Amino acid sequence: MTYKTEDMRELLLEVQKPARYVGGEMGQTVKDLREVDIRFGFCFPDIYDIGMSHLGLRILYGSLNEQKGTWCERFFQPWPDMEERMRAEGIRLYSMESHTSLDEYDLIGFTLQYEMCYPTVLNMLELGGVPIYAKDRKGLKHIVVGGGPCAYNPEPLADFFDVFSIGEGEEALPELADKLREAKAKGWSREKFLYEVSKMESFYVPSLYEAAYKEDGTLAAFTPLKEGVPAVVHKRIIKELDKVYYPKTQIIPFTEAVHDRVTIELFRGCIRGCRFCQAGMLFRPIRCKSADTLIHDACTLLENTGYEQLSLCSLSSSDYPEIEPLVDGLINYTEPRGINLSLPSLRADNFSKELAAKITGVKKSTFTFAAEAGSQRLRDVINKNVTETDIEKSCRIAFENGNSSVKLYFMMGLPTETEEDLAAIRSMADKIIGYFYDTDKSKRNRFIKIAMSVATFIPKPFTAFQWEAQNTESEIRQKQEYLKKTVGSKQVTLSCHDCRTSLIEAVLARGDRRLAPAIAYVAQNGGRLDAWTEYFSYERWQEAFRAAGIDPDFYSARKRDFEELLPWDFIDIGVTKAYLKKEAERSYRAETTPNCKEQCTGCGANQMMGRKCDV
Amino acid sequence: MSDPKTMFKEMRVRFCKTDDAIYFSHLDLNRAVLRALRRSGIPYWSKGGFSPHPYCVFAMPLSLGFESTGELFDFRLLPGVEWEPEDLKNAFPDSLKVLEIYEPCDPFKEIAFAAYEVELETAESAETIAAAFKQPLTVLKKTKRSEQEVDIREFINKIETKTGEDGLVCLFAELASGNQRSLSPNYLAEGLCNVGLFCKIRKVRRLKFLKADGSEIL
Repeated sequence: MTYKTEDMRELLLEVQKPARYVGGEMGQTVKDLREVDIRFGFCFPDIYDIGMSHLGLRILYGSLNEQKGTWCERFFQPWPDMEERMRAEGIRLYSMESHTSLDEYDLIGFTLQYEMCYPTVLNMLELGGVPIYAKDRKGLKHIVVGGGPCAYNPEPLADFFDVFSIGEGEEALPELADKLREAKAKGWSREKFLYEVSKMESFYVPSLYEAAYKEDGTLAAFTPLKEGVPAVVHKRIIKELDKVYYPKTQIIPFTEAVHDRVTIELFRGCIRGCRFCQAGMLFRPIRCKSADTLIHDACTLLENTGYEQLSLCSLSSSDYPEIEPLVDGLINYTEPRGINLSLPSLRADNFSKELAAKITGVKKSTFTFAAEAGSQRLRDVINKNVTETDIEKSCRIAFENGNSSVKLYFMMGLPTETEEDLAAIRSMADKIIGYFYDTDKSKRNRFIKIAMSVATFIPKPFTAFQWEAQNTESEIRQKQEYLKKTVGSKQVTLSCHDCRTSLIEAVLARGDRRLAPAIAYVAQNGGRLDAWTEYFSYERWQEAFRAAGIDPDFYSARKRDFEELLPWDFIDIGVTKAYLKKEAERSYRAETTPNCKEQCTGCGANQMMGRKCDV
Repeated sequence: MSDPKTMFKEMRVRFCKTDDAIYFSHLDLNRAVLRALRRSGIPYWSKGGFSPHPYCVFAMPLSLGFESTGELFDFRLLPGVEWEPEDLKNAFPDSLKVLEIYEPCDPFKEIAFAAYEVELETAESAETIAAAFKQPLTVLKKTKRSEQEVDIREFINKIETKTGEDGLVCLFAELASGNQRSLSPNYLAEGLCNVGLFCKIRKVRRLKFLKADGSEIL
């Protein structure tokens, strides 16, 4: 079904921000259907405003549309006011480009950025007229494929997806489209097609594996059901980032997206090895783009889009080896044109005076430090190699440059955490205020504002803490109360994340196939946009677990043995399990591990490219 | 201080807001135009400050859902730099098509009326509707500060009624549209409903802006 916006006029004028439901933006791709044999529905399981900010969407949209015969179009979860109207009028979820309903697409791809989007995924399928369970979908249509960080533990979604693309998708997805093209030409059955896909590098077909469980509920075995289906699925990486496709333009939303700007990607991977961080392990090995490529990419994109803001994207951007020449080159372009350059993810320890001065020359913004833990001991446990002196040094530089607004991020419920560690969060704020008043009055601002944000720690697969137990709700509440009592003044504000979302996220993050009925229950009982506090319902999740006979604590609050077979063990991310175990053991002794620049610590990821990392 | 006239040249753009652009809010439109100016590569004059951006002023915001074939915005060109009007035209999406670029004669503050074409769904004939505008038509006019009963005829400079296609009644109306006094075309339907002539607005299109003497703003 293809809809015309003209026929939806009344409906569109009754909902908030209708511009996000009509598409037609500059930079979108429209193809002649007569020249298209594979239609790819790229679904972002959140609203337009969020999805349009996502760099992965831009890259994959571009690389799929580069392929002859493939047309990739965008789908987003509508805001509930729109969804309600669509359901009332029998309108199915439709694409931004051609306004075609999702059920007409051959390949349906979901990017899984965070676990809380799972019910939204099912809701979008259902709203689009596509059966949510993989077993109910027939023929060579509606091949539902998942990717992104959550696909590294795809098991909770195993019943809903036909395929998972593990790792970087810009080459893998066009290959999948090609395979479907071949299947159509040769008249393969759906089963034959999925079997062939399972043999391709980095694709996981969940229906071709079987999980067996022990009496205590832990996994006993995870085995392929057919010969030729690999027991281990290796993630895909792009070995040479300088040579890979990068979009020359961006789709420019008419209505504002959350991050509405040009983004360039500096590198993939991270040298740091923080033990709680999943992205830091998943995206290894470290591969950089050259500063020349990046400056060229940025100028092209800015010229083609007319954006007034440029941001650099990567984990820990200041670790980029050519950061100074890059920032220099970019400022040469942006400054005379009044374009704002913003640098996210700066680390406290290597933020140089020169770099700070260059950035403040453009625009003063808040300084954000992710200290993660208050005490040095706990920072050593999590391998966040930032010392008091580093924090002092960077604060002083920031204050001398006229910054007076500091944002600090912490995590609570980290392994081995004690009350002393929590108390140290307070003392850190006091020390920072001290550095501020030490600063020469003529250089610094008059007032200081410290915003402290404390999140709840969630153990994630493929981290050194993948075996750890998450704190229970009552433990977290006690700690939050303690913090609220000690922190908070005119100069310091404290905000604690609602821990209930984190509790559910923890279940889904390390879940297995048995969670499927609970996720389906949530979706079928009105659950969607669970990452939005106004639509998250803890009670609904609890009901769902009860209905499905699932004990959530088994997944979140249980400490695993190193010997336990984990649901995601069949995926090879490059970093070895032995390395993660070694890191976990070091953490118990509060021993730090040097970053990759200082010394290769042998995580194993560089084996994937057969050379040293770009550090 | 240097003479502003030597710093830049004022230019005016007449453009459409049609098709799906009717769903863009004024803020969306503003952003889209600023980006189009930047993208076009023409030598526009920028406002200074922390976030320098092209100078750009719109004649009058247009309500969400209304289309237009006569929107205006002014921008400033750096003097003495060559430029191609085509570059600016090409930077706009089809739904915001640029119709004309010229040096303005009249400042926006002289706008007194806007001309609209309004399509009404109604069981009444065009003649009955036309006759209604000869009688008082009161509506409760809401502004940010107050609510007031007014006769909408006080805000109408000219009105014509015609039978349109598909049994629609078409109104061509010049309505007060300035900083001091203005009337949204939505009140035309409300006024008619209030005297028992039931009608619903199908479509509103703004055509042009007029000065107090009824001539077009140029």
